[in-house]
Amino acid sequence: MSDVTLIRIPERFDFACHKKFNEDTDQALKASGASLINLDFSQVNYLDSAALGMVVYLHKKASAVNKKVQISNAHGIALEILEVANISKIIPVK
Amino acid sequence: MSDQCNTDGSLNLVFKPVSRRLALVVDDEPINCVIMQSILEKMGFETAIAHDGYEAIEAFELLAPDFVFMDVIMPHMDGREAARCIKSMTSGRFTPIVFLTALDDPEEVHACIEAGGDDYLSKPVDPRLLRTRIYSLERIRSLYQKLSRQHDELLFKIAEEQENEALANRVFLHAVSAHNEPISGLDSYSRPASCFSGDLVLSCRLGQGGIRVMLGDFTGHGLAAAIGALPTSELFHAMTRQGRSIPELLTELNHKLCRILPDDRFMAAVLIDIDPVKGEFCYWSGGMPPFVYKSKDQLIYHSSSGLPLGILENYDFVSEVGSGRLTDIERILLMSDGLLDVRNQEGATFSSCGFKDLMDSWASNDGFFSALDERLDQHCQNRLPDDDVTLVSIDLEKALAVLNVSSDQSADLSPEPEGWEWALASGGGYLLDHSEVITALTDTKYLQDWPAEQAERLQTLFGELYNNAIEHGLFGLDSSLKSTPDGFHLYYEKRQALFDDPPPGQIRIQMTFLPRQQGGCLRLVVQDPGKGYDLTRLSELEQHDDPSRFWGRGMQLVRSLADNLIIHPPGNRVEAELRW
Repeated sequence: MSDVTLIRIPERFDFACHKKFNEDTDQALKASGASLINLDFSQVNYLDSAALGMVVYLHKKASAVNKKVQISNAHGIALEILEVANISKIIPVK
Repeated sequence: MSDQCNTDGSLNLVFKPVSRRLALVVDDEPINCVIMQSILEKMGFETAIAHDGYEAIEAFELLAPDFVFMDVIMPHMDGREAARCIKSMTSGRFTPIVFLTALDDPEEVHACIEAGGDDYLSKPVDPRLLRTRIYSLERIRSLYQKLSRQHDELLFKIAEEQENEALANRVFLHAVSAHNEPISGLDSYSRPASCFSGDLVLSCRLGQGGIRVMLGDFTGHGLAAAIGALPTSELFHAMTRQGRSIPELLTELNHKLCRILPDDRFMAAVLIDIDPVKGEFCYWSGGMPPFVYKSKDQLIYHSSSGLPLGILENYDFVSEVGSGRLTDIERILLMSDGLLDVRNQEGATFSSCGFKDLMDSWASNDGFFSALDERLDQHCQNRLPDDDVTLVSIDLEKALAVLNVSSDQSADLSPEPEGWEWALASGGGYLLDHSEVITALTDTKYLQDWPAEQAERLQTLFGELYNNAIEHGLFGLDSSLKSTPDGFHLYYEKRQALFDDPPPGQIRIQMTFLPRQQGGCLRLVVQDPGKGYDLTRLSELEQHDDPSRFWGRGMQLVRSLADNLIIHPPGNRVEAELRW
């Protein structure tokens, strides 16, 4: 699976992760070869609206360079929030 | 300093070669460079040469000289422009630039100094004059360095002070408050001063269904006030659990504080035991305002008779402990002197205006803390109190009702789950981020029996409401800034900057939990000092749901998570309910 970049999202995914998230995703966006950015939500147990904004923003940047974003292993409250926000309409949630 | 004044007052201009580093000579005439080099080297400088402005800037960057001697008219880039450039590169250190001018034209000299030159000399350069100029500029530089060092030291001290206060705050939040047991019927209110000022509330259950409550007030503020808090809290809980009496606890506390606190520091305190089995309460109070209890529609004030703790090593507490019957007593109120001494803009204390009315409201109604909050707001008008304001109200009916249940039941039956109320004001000098508030709440152990999913739901709901209150209510940030990717970054950068140096104002948080059969109901109120939401814009946003938008999701989340949501006009007070 060399064409997938895996980004592990921390337990608390909120605006405080903003900088780190941008650094990680910018690197993934620049990486040649990888066409899919997989956000691993397995550890996430807190998610706020700012984090949703960051994910949507990533989706927009990725589309501009023909890459795709997906969310995997979301569970519990994090999954509930992703569903409430209809994120799955633009990014596959697995 | 190698250069000193001689005793006769003349300048000692014999320069020691080792004391100087590098001088940069900038001149397009090679012969001028050679002359300057020879004079400077005799004075102990090493030298470097540049032939025009560009070379000068390059050499400056590369070599970081400590003096620059600059010709004015040169090809490619002249001396003035080079000086401007060099000065813009040297923030934080002082590198003198001396212009060497062919003409003694006042206009030209003026232009050179304006471009950043620190001095000038006319050509041909007189070696004696050059030495004098170097001497005077070195003196300025040493002053500048001293100033800059002191400035750094000052910045460091300020940072250290802030760190100390944050540490003091943390000690309280985690190490002291965390050990208190939740006791229903016991509500406390605190409005911290601009910096932590040493009030602490401790509570613990006694054997046979009693409770012990202490309100202490350390002198001083910041870390100094927090020093005594840790051992006080530890002793209080340990000795109370061992069933030690009030005089025993006071003697130990006094002994400990005498040893660890400096002579001018001590702790005023009021301590109460409530014993439902004997139907009695015991109290001791030293250096505190009177505590109050309500009995048969009358308010009875008990003045403080003792000496604060930590002053006299051998002090007899036994004779100072008073007691009374619990019959007919509905409520007891403890307070620190912060409340009485809060001053309004005219300098009048709260005790002289409004205190009596407030006590009447305590006697008659249950919304006492919110009434207190309003009155203090009115009184202070956005100013922070100089001292912590802390009150503890004990509702005996509630406290003892629960206690009776647990003491009447046999040991293998667990007592009915209890309700609780928890309130916190964040802001002023101490703006907490939402995870700190959550940590403080979880430290109370109030949530320990909650199902994990409900605790998560509460965290998320609270996070949204609290961050809204901070970002919009307190900081006045506009979410629509987040509508572009750049704006999204900018928004969070601004947020961070404001968080580090927050504007005045507080966010009030209140949580009330009532257990229900196999579940519960939590009411959460978050109130900010802002102007409120634009409610019409909010509903428009919610109607035009666009999943690719970066912002505007918070309220949608809140609505879906809460079982009931009320936004009180103008929108700076939001009430949400969780039920299960």
